[in-house]
Amino acid sequence: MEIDIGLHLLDHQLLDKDGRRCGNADDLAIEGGPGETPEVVAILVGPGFWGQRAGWIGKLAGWIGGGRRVRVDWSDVDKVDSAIELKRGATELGLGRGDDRLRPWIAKIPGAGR
Amino acid sequence: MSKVLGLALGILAAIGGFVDIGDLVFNVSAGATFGYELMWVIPIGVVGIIVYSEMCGRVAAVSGKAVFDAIRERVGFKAGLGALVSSEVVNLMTLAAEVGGVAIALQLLSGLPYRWLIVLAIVALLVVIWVTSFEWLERIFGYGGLCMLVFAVAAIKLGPSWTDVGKGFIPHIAGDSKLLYGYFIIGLLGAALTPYEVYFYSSGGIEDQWSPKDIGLNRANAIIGYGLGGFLSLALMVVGAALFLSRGISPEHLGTIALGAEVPLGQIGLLLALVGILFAVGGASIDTVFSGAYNLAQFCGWEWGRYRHARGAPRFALTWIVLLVLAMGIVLTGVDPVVLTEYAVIFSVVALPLTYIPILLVANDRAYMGRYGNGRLANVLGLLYLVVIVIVALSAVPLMILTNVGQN
Amino acid sequence: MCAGVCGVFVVAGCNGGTVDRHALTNDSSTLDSIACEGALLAHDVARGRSTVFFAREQAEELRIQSSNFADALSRRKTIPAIKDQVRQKAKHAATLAATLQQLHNHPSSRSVAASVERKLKKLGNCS
Repeated sequence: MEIDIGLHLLDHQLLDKDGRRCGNADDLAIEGGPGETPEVVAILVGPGFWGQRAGWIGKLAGWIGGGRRVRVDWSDVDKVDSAIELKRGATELGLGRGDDRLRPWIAKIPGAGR
Repeated sequence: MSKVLGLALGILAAIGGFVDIGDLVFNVSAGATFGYELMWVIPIGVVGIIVYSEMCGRVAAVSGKAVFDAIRERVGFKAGLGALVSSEVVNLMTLAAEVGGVAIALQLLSGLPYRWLIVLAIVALLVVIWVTSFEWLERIFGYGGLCMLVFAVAAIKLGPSWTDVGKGFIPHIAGDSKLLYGYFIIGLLGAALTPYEVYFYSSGGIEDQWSPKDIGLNRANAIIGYGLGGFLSLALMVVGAALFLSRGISPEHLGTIALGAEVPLGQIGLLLALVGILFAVGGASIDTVFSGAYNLAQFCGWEWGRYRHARGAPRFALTWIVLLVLAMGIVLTGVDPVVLTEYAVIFSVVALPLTYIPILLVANDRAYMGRYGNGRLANVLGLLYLVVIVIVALSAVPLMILTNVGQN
Repeated sequence: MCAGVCGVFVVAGCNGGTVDRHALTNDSSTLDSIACEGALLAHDVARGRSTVFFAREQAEELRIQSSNFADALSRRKTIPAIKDQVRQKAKHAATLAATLQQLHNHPSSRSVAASVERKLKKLGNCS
């Protein structure tokens, strides 16, 4: 897989199999040494990866954001369009956990699910 | 509902929603200080917001992404984070100013204590946003804001010298008080080109589920809606000039602005003005708080949108709730909303390039826009305004300091 | 942007310093503005063209503003040459506040409003 694809992957939205927004591609795991074609093997998602993108301010923002790190294997990617569409559900992949944890509380307020 | 009716209703909502507290403060003040000499700045601001709103709407309709969503992708993480932080800071200041404005309008209508009205305003906003659909939110506040048309009537009734008004449309530099004149140019443009408005307009396109076939609708909405809305800004400046300048009155309170409708039109004028201000500023505070929530959610990749309901987008919902509570806290400290408005507008001017440059980049990017990318007209105008925006952004803080926040 | 923000707050803070001629002129015109706006409001009340709540609350806003000036001008350090003028202005501001207080206390009385209008017009040299 060409590294050019990185341009269409990095910072793009992730959508799970139901079209649910579940994070951005915060970084990429690339493998391939000298002489080999670099390959994207995983998408890295979560504020825990912000530090390596933007120095100390990224680290601070990442810390405020909870520092979570999720690795999404390339094999879970269905297709790359304007967003990165995944083969499985967000919860299965460990994505969108913030929303899932908050949902039961928010749902207690009447009118939350209309 | 027929398309024409839908368009007409959308335009009415856009007119009613055009004015926010920044426009109220700066347009009337400019009139009270420089008469009609700054009229020419208003059309420039209006065309600017039309050009960029149309771009943002088109980005949403074609790419299915809101503009801030696309910003992080297009300019990278670092610049995106910078854009996020600066927009959230300015956004919160603006939100606090708008909420304060709502409380003042309520106080002038009801005579109830200001502090309680701040809390009431926040609770009312929380409830209204929670129970009302996106579509109806825009309608209610947009139509209520149409009461602001009373200022157009007031402007005419005050019998200004129309030749002087006309002369004001020719761009020129003031004779004296050049620094203060420059400060007002910046403030007027800043009040017209508010960042939260373009972010909101773009995400709103996704909320309304626009697709490429809605591009014409988007264009008509932006041009006619904002174009006509611009007349309200003109009316406010005329009222400031015709009523306050000759009497040596410098408007420092929201109530002073309402006086501008009371003097020519009596009690009815006053009440329409206060109700208009209430809905216009209230609607603006909703646009502002949503913009803040949209930007954060889109930067982080969370699920977002009023159309997903709170259960579908819990962190997004929590964000706008927290932002409103924070704004309430700021206003409860007793800071004067009018003063806060001036600071919010000037600071948002400084952040304008960071807002508009990415929009221009995305609207031109074929990967997002396909064949709907910017044509020659959009790019010429877009670049022209970018130059204006950069000049204005660089002069904002020096002028603010040199004129002591417009006090001279 | 950060430097700019800090700069603004430093300068804005400097405003609470010594009263010089420039500040006195500015404060005088602001006080005149308050008086003339109050006169405009009183004019409308005298003709029944306002509402009780609006007149009451707006008069109070203006009163607070002039009262703050009265405090500031009677307390702040001034350059010696204009000290008398500044303290005189402080008294002027206090009178202005008291007159506005009358309008605040009687927001629906046409006769009080008419007399307040006359006094305010004089205080502010209004046209």
